[in-house]
Amino acid sequence: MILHVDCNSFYASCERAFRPDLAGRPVVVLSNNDGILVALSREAKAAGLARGDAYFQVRDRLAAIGGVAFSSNYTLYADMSRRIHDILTGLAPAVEPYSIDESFLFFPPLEGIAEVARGIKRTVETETGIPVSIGIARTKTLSKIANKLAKKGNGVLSVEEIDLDAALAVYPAADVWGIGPRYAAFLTERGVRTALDLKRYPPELARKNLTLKGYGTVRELNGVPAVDALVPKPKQNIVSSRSFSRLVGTLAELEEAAAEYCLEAVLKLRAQRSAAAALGVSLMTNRFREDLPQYRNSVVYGVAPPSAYAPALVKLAIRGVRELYRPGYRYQKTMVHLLDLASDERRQADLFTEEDPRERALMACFDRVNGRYGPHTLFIGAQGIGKDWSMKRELLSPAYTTEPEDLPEAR
Amino acid sequence: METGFPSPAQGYEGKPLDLNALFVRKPSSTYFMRMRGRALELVGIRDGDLLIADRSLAPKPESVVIAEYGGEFVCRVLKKAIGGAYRLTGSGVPPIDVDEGVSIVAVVPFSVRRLP
Repeated sequence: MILHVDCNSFYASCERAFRPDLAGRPVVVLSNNDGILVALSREAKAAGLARGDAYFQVRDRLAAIGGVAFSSNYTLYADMSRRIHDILTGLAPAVEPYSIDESFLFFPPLEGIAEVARGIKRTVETETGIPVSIGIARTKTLSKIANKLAKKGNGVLSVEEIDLDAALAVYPAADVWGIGPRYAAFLTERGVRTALDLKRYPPELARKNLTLKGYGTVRELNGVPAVDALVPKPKQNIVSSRSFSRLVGTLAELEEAAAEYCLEAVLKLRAQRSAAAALGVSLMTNRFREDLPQYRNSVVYGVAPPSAYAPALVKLAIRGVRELYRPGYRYQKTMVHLLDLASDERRQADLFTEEDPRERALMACFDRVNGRYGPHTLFIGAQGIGKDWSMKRELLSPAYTTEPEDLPEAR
Repeated sequence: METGFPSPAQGYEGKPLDLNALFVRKPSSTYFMRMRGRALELVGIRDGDLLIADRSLAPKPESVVIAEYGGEFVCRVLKKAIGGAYRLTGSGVPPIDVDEGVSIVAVVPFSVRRLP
């Protein structure tokens, strides 16, 4: 049996867990640069606000209904996610995290699995203050549907307790996990509108028209597990980028940004023990500012042998920005991609170059220091110190669980 | 440690004492908080002390607990009256009856103070 555990309005719930004064009030969390709403509490949704609304447009309405907005406090959300994961790991034989706030739990077939799920829900909520819902089914796809239905009820639902086909008949096919907008349109044209239609879609047609993943979705709707990945595969490429909080014009600032994003990607690369065989850099202006000249370009360098050596990769990222830079443009975003990743340990030795043991030693030290004192303890000088182009987060809540000065208070 | 001849203590080494192991029973449900005010001076917790709050412990009479009340976190001693009703008490503050407006969220098994 598969339990899909999902936190309700995760970011907003994390903020509320440390603010008893916000119970029952609309709470929203904003995207990077405080641009749009990315998470809403139940009350905020009920008031008509929605994901994707521009903050500056709804700010007054939010205040009028006694609501509060927060910038994304990733440090806090990551810590709460870790706590929930640790709790779930103690309650289930196998746990597969799917995203920062969703996990699949795997159980052998059990009498009373719904009662077990209710116990898990109670434990997570008691121990973290974060409300969760749980969907129970034999496949991941159905467990996600069960979870959506659970949210309308008391928070736990097993597909075996309901008339599943009746529920699928009113569940849009486009909302089924694995069906994106492109396939949804294709299916609608062929009269497949609901999850029930999709469940009954002939498998041979699914295999032919919907790719292997879509075929797997159809089988899962029929109760046959077909979605892979009990072991998450390491990512095949890593992208690091963010929009700047203001348009940037100087090469020096772009070099700092490229160095920082490259290092961020390298940390992820090293964490999954991969090496990159190529590095790409992109640079672009703000395409919505039609009053300003537009520019988008990118460059890719091969990296031979594949490397996870931060100084070399950062140097390449800076070189990329230098090659792409054109004076006179106001840039909005730069991206660094690490591509063609391979396991660092098993990569084939390049016949013509030998790895410098000092490089390995330097990076091992870098990993150890950052591992012990936290990421970004050691950074590369090229990143710059005190940048005013970095992400705007004016409504950031304290790091309640990770900073000694930010501890919640009790009177 | 390499020495000229084997240490008689070899094989008897204990692990160095770790405050986390002694005072944080369940890291995933343990939160650190700061005490503000004098409500718990009578049980030895002063303004500015660190509170180790565990959301997984079941509150019992005489426990020091964290509760949500009036839109804030309060730290009080849980008491059970003879009639069976539960109250949250502290020194110099009115007692709080534990009813729907009150939610006990954690038990505080330890507090920590920096000495002058």
